[in-house]
Amino acid sequence: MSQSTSEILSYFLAPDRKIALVKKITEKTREGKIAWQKATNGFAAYIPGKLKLVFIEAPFSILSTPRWVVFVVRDDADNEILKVDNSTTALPAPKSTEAREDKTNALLAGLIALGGDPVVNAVTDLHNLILSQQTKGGIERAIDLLDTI
Amino acid sequence: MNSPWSITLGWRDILNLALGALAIYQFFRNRRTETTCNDVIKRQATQSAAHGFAEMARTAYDLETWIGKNEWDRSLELAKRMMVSLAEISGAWSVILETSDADIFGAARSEISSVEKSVSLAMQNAPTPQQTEEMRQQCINAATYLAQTAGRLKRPDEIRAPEKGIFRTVMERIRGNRRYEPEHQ
Repeated sequence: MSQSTSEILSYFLAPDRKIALVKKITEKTREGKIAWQKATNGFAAYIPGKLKLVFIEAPFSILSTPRWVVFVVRDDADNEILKVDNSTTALPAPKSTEAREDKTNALLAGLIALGGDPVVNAVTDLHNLILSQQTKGGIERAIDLLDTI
Repeated sequence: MNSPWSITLGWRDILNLALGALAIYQFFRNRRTETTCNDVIKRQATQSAAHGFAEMARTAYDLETWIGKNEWDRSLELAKRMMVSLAEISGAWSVILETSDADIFGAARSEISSVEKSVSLAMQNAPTPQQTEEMRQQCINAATYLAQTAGRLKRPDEIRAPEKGIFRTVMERIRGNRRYEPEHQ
């Protein structure tokens, strides 16, 4: 296999592994095995002796729901394993009408046209799950508190 | 009963012991001086970093102002300059930042990067008021992150837990740590 082919393959395979990691975290969060805590700038979770997970949220957003900006996964020794930036621009990128010679670019453009970066989408799903869990947990706690009156 | 062994100290032995004690004292004294010097250097570096982060926060607010005025040429120039400065700051001060601050700094870079892309697109097609507002929000977010980091670096040492020297720790243990016990009234 030539070096360029392996580079292209690794480029396309790497996001799969990233998505697999994010989906695994989502699954464990849904099962309640990962407990997310509200932090100053977002959410954080610590799996003792294994991983540290951090969501940095935007302090101000024109959207009603908080927007995540950065998601970081670190091992216990603080080595960065995964970092995803939510680099959504306010203005959508113009669609190019020029014929693309490069197949890689064409495939990338196709992926983006299908609905954005799949890794970013997976992280957004995880963030939405955490938000819903936190909201639900807060409301249930408030109901329980009112029941004690 | 006679002692099985005895020591007779001559004046040379006493002198050697005194010199030995002096050497040990000097060793610990020099070590303390080195630690103090390192602390001073670290504190100065932290102050410079705090100043740099605060300056970048102000620049992010300037960018927000220019975007609000629809000055796209100036905004793009400022956004590009900020991208370079943020990379420079990252290279210079990443050692000083704690992991949590490094994440926040990463978020600031991400927001400015998004703004820079949006502004370059805005030069081709005029954005809607909502899109302009979104860009302004991203600038404010970046400024907030940078100001937070600057604030944490400016935090006085007195707020942090005091570091105790080896002698002070030993002395406290000998004295039973009475002086540092909270007073119950």
